[in-house]
Amino acid sequence: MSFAKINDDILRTLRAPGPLWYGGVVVAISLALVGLYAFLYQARTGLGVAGYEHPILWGIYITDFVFWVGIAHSGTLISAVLFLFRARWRTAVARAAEAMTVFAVMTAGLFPIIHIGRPWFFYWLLPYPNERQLWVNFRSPLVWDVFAISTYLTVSAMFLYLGLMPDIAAARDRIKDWRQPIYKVLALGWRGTSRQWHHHAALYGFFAALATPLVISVHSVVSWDFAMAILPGWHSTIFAPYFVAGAIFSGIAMVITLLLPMRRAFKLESYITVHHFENLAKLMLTTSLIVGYAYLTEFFVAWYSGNVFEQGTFYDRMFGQYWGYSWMMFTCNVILPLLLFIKAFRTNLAALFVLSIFVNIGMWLERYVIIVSSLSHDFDPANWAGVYQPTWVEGAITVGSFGLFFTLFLLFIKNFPAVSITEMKESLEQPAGADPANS
Amino acid sequence: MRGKERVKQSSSSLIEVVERRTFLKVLGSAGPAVALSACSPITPEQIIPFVIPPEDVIPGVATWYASVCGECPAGCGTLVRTREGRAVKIEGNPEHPINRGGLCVRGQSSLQGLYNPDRIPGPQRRRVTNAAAGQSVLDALPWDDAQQDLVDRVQALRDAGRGDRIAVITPPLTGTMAALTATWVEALGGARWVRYEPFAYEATRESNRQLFGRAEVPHYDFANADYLISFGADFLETFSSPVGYARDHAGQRRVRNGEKARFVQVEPRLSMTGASADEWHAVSPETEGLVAAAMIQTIIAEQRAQGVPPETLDAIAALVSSVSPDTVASTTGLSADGIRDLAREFSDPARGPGRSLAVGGGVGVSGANATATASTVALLNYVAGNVGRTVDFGAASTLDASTYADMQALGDSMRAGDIELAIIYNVNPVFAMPGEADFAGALAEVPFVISLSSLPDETTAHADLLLPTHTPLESWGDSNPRRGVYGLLQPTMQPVFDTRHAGDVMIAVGRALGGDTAANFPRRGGFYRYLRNTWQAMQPLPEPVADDTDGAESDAAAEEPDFEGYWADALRRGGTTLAVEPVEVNLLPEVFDTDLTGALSPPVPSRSYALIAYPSLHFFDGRGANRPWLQEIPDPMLKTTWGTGVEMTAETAAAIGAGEGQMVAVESDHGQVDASVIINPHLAAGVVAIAIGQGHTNFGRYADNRGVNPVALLSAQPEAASGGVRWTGTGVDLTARQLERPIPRLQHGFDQDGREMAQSVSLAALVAGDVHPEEEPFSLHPDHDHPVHRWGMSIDLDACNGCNACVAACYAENNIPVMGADRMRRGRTMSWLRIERFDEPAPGSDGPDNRFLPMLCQHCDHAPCETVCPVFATYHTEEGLNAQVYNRCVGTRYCSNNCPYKVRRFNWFLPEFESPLNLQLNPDVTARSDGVMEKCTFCVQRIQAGKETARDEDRPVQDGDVTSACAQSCPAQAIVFGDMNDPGSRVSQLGNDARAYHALAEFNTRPAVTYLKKVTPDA
Repeated sequence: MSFAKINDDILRTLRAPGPLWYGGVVVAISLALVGLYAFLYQARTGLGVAGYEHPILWGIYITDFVFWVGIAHSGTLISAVLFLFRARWRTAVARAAEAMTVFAVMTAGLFPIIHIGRPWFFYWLLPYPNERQLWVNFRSPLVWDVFAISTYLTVSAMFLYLGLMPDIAAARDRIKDWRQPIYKVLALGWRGTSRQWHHHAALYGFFAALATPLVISVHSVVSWDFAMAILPGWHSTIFAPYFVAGAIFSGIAMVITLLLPMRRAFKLESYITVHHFENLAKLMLTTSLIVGYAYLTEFFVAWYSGNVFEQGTFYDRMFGQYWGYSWMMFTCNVILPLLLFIKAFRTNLAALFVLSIFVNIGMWLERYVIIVSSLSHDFDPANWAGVYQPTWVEGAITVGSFGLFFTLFLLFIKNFPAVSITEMKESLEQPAGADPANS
Repeated sequence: MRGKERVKQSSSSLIEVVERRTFLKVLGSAGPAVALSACSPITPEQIIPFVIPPEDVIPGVATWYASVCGECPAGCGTLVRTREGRAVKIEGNPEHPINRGGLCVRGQSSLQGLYNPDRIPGPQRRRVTNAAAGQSVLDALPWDDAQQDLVDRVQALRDAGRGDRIAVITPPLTGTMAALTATWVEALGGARWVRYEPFAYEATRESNRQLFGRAEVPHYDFANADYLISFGADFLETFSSPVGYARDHAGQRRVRNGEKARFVQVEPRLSMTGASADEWHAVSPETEGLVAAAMIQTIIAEQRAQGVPPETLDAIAALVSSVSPDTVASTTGLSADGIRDLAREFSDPARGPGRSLAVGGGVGVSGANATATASTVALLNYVAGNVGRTVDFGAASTLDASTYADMQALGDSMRAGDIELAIIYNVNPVFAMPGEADFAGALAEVPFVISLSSLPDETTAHADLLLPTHTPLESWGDSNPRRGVYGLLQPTMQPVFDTRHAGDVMIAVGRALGGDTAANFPRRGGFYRYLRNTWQAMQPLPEPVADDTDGAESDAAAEEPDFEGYWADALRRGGTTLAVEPVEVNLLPEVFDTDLTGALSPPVPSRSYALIAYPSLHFFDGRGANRPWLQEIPDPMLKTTWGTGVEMTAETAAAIGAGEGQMVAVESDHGQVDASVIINPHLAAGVVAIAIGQGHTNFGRYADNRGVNPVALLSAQPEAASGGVRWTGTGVDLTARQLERPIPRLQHGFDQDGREMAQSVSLAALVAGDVHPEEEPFSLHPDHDHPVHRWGMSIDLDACNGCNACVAACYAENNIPVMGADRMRRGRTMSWLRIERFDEPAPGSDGPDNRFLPMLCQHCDHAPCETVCPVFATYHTEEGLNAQVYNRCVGTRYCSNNCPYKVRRFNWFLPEFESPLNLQLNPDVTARSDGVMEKCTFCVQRIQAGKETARDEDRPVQDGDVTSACAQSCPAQAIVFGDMNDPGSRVSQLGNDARAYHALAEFNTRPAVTYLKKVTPDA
């Protein structure tokens, strides 16, 4: 394998797309448009077209929000944290994971707006100077959310772009079509001088260090949306680490779900190898064990507290109206991933793909169970609600969010190198006299 | 190129035309004009004549009119608040002797009768379009033509000497309207007049006629009953005067000197009234009389009777000699010892005579032996010395209704072709009479039917000419619900539709008919003049002047007392009271010749289950079903909304293979209905129950095709002795159908699950001082500063009877929208105040220890909702209110998630108030838009009004200046509102009561609402 072959192989993915890609984009955009229609219908008619049932005033949208924020986690973890730990295997999967992060945060960021009663006033959540002298309430975790999510989006987008810059320069030099002027602008005049490389490496390291605490903070803050409330089932000190572990868990599952088909479609088997997937699987197993431990801790604490509200909520979660969701969540998130202890399973990509889908479902259900079942069974028994029945609007918007995410992801991988050319070259044995960027 | 230029030119000219200044000018002039014209469908001139402003309409200032509620015969006094010429709120009149300030859920909702969008907009005549298919349309016509039609038809019959072939059906009118109708009926040529009331208490009246020679419903003095046993009387729900009785009862049940008046209810289905009882005993249907008879037997046998001559006592003993607790125990389902205990407690000699009370005769327990049962209950009162004391015939109800049997006879006459013209005023017999009686079929045989009704209903559907009348809120009138009480109605606003007062129609027709009788009707002034004349005649003469030196002058003064002053005073106060002569009653000797106990034995059941058709708190006999509030507010016991079904125990449901929400066919010998199953554990064995009042077919958009009408199952045969409907005891069979039609319920379970939401204390513990005031937990956060006022509320769970009056008052006061049945299925009620109900096990009672818990925003000092709102849409005011800024709210709904009481309501849709219901909206309260959160404000607009009144009078705000709508309406006075910063205020004092506690106190939210624990009896 030479630098030239790397360039050829990876930039080949940017050549004119095939019908498979077009088909994928059409499907994804259609789904996104269905979601957009459902949202506009909801905004026009009233939020009541969603399945909310008093007192379950948060439902599918917040579930989707937390789910997408969770998906956004592995990207930064893989690119930043593993970069700092010099885990070289990350190179092959980092770019896809970073892109996934950015698009997942973008998707997630829409859900609070979809969720609120008056989405046209979403900007009131931002502390901006205004003539009415209104300000936001910094004691509310929702305001923390605004900052956490926007910071995370900014940093992860910058991080992605920074890593992309030398690769865009490579594309600028090789791709001779309408995209070249865009690449030219985006490459910011990258010439691959050692001075530029020096600065790039320093900045990349700096951003990795900046992004690493965000991996912890973002989902901690999201978890505080729940943990800061007094609702049993939410009000828990373990929520921050529990949610972070869960986010990484679901994020890795999503990386596997996305990378396996991409690897086959782009014939990148020699770059993204079974070894990489096995490492991801190990990470997934670790986080699954943490999540499973957190589940058990919640139940233990509820039992040990002797608190009638806590006990009632957790009993209801296991044996109440939502028992099916809860047990499915357990199965997907805790029991099935135990198979990853078996090396033969870890290295079986088909099995890994199926498992990653299960984990995605399980983690979505986890958020659903936490939000909906806790709200349905709170303090006052006179309030207890029936089973939440989502409507087509919520379904369409959820599906639409996947459509939006895949649209962005598909557009990205066809227009930008989905595997880092630079880092692939760095990971090779350095041939004498070769300039990694300009060969 | 040319095209481009043209576009450019035209766009620049547009900019020139609409300059900023011009634009602002247009905006400035057009905006208010649009806003003004969009106010209401009624022209502004009709609401506020600006040219000659009436002195009592000041924009922004409410005008109050005293009137009388027309929703049921109880005749509660009301104060109607009007704003800019529209009635917006009804409150009980504190000076009225019947209700003394409270008002029930139906009374609150009468505004929705006034503004009902389905009201008949003007006179209409039926035109048959297809006789074969029975199709017809209603054509509008002018009032004068319509009235002339009525005159012509009556004239033709009267001149032909067939005036007696006219039937006039009215409600049991009292006061001037009764006198006018009597005169009118005579003018029609001796028309047949039936005063129809579905709940006419025929059995009670008949039994009192048999026993005492007085066919009356007496006044029951709950305020002086130290021991009360009710044989199925739902005196807190419908009965003869629910608001007044609720007030008396709650007052008497307060703990005084370490004692609490005991209340026992005996009935086959736990009513809301029974839910407040210390003991509830489930008996088999129609066996209440046997229990009472056995009690009499025990009392006499144990020589505990009081105030009865010995020979009379012997005669009574002979009447009930064939029963004893032991013989009736198995039939009734009570234990013999239990009956003996009831008898002993009821006749406790330590209490002295006349300090206990037995009431019976509730509609829901009136069956084939209703009269015998009522007689037995009356005798029970007699042997305890209660008649003349707690049973007062002096202030008896003036209810003078025909019996159901009279209506049935009228129906037979109609079928026989003896009636040629029927004039029906404001009653709905087609709906309320037993289906088997087929009054609709009888009406079809009448050649011409004229309706004087405000609202379309099942009866007006058979009318050929509709002359819509005013509702009571638009009418002059008076009411004499019980002897000595004279209420006065005055119109509170211009008629909403093209309607006339029924009295005006009668007078106009009476004069137009001519002849000798025309002189009986005033030439001018219509019913108003007639009413004044009546009151002038009724006015007590002034005290004679002692020094009668100049006879002529003083005679003149006596002849012309100051009527205008008297009239104005009566109008202002809502009526007047006259002294009532006490009435001595004695048992008639004929009573002892009857076979009382024989008549008491319950009929042999013909089918598997016995049906109880009971009057509904909300719908009464069905007349409330077209009020959206009454449909939306959940039933107090079942928490069902927008529908009724067949109630059965889980065992019965299992036996027929049905579950909650499943449709079952209910079949009796007289009819069949399909009804949705409602599981109700509080029924005697073998009993199913259906509330009366739903199942309408032509009563407007809110009522039609909803729930089930049980009268379709009842026998047309009246109860033999009294002629009343046999509401209970109909044998039915149940067949489960494979169809689910669940009725939305706003509370799914009634178990507190250890949460201690509604708390109680036993009387013994309370008396012994064995109550532990809750300790206020330590808080890291500083308390809010409340420099002037801190508004608070106290709610006495011992007084609350669950009647929903507060809920309806809140709907009316605070512009709370109605959501409808489908949204109720997702629990999306907008009510700021709900009554929670919990069942706790109650030793010594067949029923539960039932707790009603009114739950509203607790206005916490440490409110969890306030900290989580990202935009400060909810915050704490310096008067201790937890305020919600609607137009700042973005609708994250986090506040509701964090509210432990879950009292916040989210506007899922833009609320709709169907015209003209929108005229009821309170202008002092914002109507909320979709996407925002709302909740109880402690009636901040009323706080503001109270503070303004105090400021206008240049004095500080005093206790009682400010009260919330819920507290104002509470018949039991369970809710007290006031300033907790004022140590002398009632709410402050109640806050220091030994029974005081805060809901979910362990969260240290420091609520401004203090609950007072229910006092449970000592077992």
